[in-house]
Amino acid sequence: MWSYDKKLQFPVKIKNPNANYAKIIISQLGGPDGELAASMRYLNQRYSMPYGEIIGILTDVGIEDENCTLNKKSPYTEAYGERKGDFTFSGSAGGGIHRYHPYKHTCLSLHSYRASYQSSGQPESFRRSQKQCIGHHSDRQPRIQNAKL
Amino acid sequence: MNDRERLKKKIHQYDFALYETILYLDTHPTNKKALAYYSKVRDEAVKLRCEYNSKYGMLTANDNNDPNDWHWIDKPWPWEKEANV
Repeated sequence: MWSYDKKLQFPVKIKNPNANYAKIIISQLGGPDGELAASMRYLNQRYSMPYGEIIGILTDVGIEDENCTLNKKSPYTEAYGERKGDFTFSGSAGGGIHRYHPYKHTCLSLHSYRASYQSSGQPESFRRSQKQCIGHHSDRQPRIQNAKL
Repeated sequence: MNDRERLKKKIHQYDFALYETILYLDTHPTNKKALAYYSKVRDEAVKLRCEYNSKYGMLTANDNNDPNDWHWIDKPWPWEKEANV
């Protein structure tokens, strides 16, 4: 169960609102291989993880990713900065951010499909790689293929 | 159901009541009755969580009180059978 802290994870000061940069952040948060997908992967990997230490890491990294999605650098903060109304959401001035479907436009020029949220790769080697690099914030290629736990 | 389960069930109940009150207050922010109910339920929920924490272990990663060990990673995790007796 989540509880929300009414603060950002890191302090943010926007000097120059930048819609194109905001677009990249939106994609990083909710798009393909984004924070939202990573957080779901970590939290679901816990259920087959035999080591308590790694369950703890997966829990904490998973909720941290969720925090990134909700709390770190809000793309809207990034886009608007402290000067609301500098540009609109749609059209070239808004950097092509869609008003109601922010994930529609990703930095990879891909639409965000449900496939973005699934785990990929071999579960066993995946676990192994997580065990090997505790605290290493990566869910990319496992280091050891076909490893047996 | 043992004492631990009974206490956990009470926490479930108070957390549920608290959350529903929070949702109500989001749309009725000046309702005196709801505000009073909120503070009553919130205080009880905090008390129950403290009791659970001192007797049975951590509920959140901020609750560790042992200077020699990190109990967040102790079994059982909430989806495991032992946590659902």
